[in-house]
Parts: sequence; C-alpha cells; structure tokens
Amino acid sequence: MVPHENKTDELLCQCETLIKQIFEQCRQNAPNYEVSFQQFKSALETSVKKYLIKEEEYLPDVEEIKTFLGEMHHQELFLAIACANGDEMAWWDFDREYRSYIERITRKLASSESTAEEAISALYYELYGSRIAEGERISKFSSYSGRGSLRSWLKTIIWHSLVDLHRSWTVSVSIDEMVETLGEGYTHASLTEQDSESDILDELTRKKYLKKSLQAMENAFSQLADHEKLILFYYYTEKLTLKQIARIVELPESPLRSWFKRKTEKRQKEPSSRIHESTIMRWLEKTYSKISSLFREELKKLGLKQREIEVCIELASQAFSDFSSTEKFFGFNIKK
Amino acid sequence: MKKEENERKILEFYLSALSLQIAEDEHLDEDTLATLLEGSLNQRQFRPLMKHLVECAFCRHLTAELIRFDSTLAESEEISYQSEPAKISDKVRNLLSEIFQHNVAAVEAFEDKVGEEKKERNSEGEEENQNH
Repeated sequence: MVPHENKTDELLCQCETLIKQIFEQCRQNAPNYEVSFQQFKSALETSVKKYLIKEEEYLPDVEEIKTFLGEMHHQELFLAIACANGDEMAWWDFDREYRSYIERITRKLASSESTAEEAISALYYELYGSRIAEGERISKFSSYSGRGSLRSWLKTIIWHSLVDLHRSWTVSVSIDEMVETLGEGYTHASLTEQDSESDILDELTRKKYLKKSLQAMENAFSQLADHEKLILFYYYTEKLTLKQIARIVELPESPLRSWFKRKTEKRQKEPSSRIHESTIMRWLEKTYSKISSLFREELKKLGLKQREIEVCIELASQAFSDFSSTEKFFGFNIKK
Repeated sequence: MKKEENERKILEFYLSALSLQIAEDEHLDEDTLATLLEGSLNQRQFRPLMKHLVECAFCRHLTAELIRFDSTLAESEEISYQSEPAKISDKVRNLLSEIFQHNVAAVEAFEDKVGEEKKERNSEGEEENQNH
C-alpha cells in the first residue's frame, strides 16, 4: 500500500482537470484508439504512486504532482493502453513506429538470425498477452508506466529477455556475518597439520588484522553518501569505464550529476555543459580519498596504533590479493 | 604509492564481498530500470531507487549491464546479420495478421504453431546430424 493512501487520492482528485486535458489531447491525436478515460486516469495515478510517493515520510504537493504528470510520455502511454486492450489500429501503429527499432535492438543482442527471429515473435506475443488470467489477457504493455519513453522500456524488455546473467548471489549473508566467519576458506587453505604453535599464533594474529581491516572498511563505507557508494561500485566492481559512467550523468537533469557537481560559476551559467571522463575521474578520486581517510580513522577507533595500522593494511591487502574470488575467501555457500 | 595501492585492494575486496549480496525486498522492474537509466527522474524520485541500487548487487549489476549495452548501441549503429533484412519483419507482420484475424483463439493457435515449428526445426537438425 502506498503511504498516505487517502491523502494521495485527495491530491490526485485535485489534478483531475489536468488529467482530462491530457486525455483529450491524446484522443485528438489518436481518435480511433480504444482507451477509456478511466483506464488512462488509472494508469497515470499508478505511475504517480510508483515514482512520486515512494518514500514513506514524503507527500508531494499538488503542483509537484502536476509537474510529474506533465512530464510523462502521454501519447506513448495512450498507445500502450490501446495495445494492451487489443486495439488493432493501435497495434499497426505500434508496429509501424517501433518495429525497426525492436529489430535493431534484438539483432544487436541475439547470437544468430534465428534467435533474433524467435525473440521478436516472443516479444510481440508477450506484448499482446500470452497469459490469460480470470478470462482476461495479461498484456506486457500494462506494465509500462509512461514515466520513461516507450523505446527505452522496449529496449529494457528485449535486453532482459535475451541476456543471461551469469552471476552468483546471496541474500542471507550480512557483512557482520562475513566478518564473523571471516577467512574460513583462507584459514583452512593456509594452515596445515604440520604447523607449529607459533605458526598458528601468527595465523590468528593475521586473522585478527583481517577482521579489523574489514570492520574498519565497513564503518568507513557506511559514512559515504549513496551516490558516492554507487560510483565506487560501478567503477570497481562492475568495471564500468569512465566513459560509460559519464554517459549516465551526461543529461543535465541527471540526479547523479546534480549530487556530484560543484556549483561553479561556469556550470551555473552552462547547466548542460558536458561531463567528461576527467570529471568522473575527479569524482572518483575525491570519493576514494574520502573513504581512505575514514578507513584510517576507523582503524584507530578499533584500537590500532599508527605502526599497527600500516602492518594491518599491508597484511590485509596481501591476504585479499592471494584469493582469486571473494566467495573462496569467505568460504560461504552462494545461491546460484 | 604502495600504501594507496594496498588500501585500494582492501576497498576492492570489500566492495566485491558486498557485490554478492542482494536485497530481500522486490527488485527493480523493467519499467523502473528503463526510466532510471533514461534519466527521467529527479533527485527526490531517484533517491529511494539509488538506495536500493546500493543495497542490491543484482539490480546494480542489471543497471551496469544495461549501461554497457547502451554505450555499445550508441557507439555502433551498424546492424549485423544483414543478409536477410526483411525476414524478421515479414514474420512479425504475419504474426499481427494472425492475431487480429482470429482474435484471442489465434494467440493459442500461434503458440501451438511456433511450438510445432520449433519441433520441426529440431527434428530437421537431428536428421541432418544423423546424415553427417
């Protein structure tokens, strides 16, 4: 349930005139489509609830809702609803407008011509409605909100249907648990039955330092803002290039861009100035330098003296580099 | 320099450990992913989604892969498999005609037909393999 449900409905009622205007405009552009005002209104309201009233503490005012409604891709939503209704005219329009785009995207992703062919057939079939629930077709079009463009939505649907994500995931292991069970794989791999008591003590000391370094990194990381965390993830673990990161922040209205950019005079005068790879590098370096000082502060808070901090960092980096995969190091089971 | 490199290794290791974790709540749907990467949301609308991306390696990975795909698309406009450009379009056109001539029942018929075609293709492939 959306927070402030009743209040939200009241606010949406106050936007009824605007919704009617948008609907009339869409109907003028496509008078033959089979779309009722109620359906259209309901789709707009769903989108408002999905994107604008997501945070529990926040309730937008009427003006904000009106701005949001005004920014939506009305005509594309109108087409999508008509297609979901099975309107033949809308389907032919959709086909004429989007088929070449769909083919282009699919061919880029598919491994062969026959795979592309099958994927396009399956997509059309899913868009029309491959499932029938309680006597009604469930069209994929009904999941389009109209907030983003229909092209972008189609691209994501096609991409999702063709890309196989070979990765391992776990839901159950928190970082606390990781730190607790730290180095099970590491300890087993490095100790043998022939090791002396002092070897074992050395190993325990190493393990203590590894735990402290991870604990300190966790504390340091938690102090970063979400946009700083995200850029570190994209660069270090997802291995996106600076150019690729620059692409997602190049739009003047990009939220990530607004968080990072300093409001220099030049940028205030030219809000749409391009974000270059060197800018992303500077953001990364700034974030990296922030986490680096936080990390050292946290090691101090964990009771390590300056000399110990250096030893701890040296030992931890060595131990972590020896292991090819994180899963192997921690020795926990990964859900496939 | 060496110190910085060591710290960087610890950070990378820590981040890769976090990259195994996925959120227990719902993942971002296709509409949200598309809207998010298109840059259609303002800071306030983006904030809860960004929070999810930070916590959920699965969705983060999806967005990263989509960003990679977008950048491939932008860099190269050329289309592969240009040998039979009209083949897919014809097939799709037939599909639409079939759906709208026979309505909902046609969907089921089409599904059967696609299934049959697949079977035929598979058995033809098997026969070819046997002949070889």
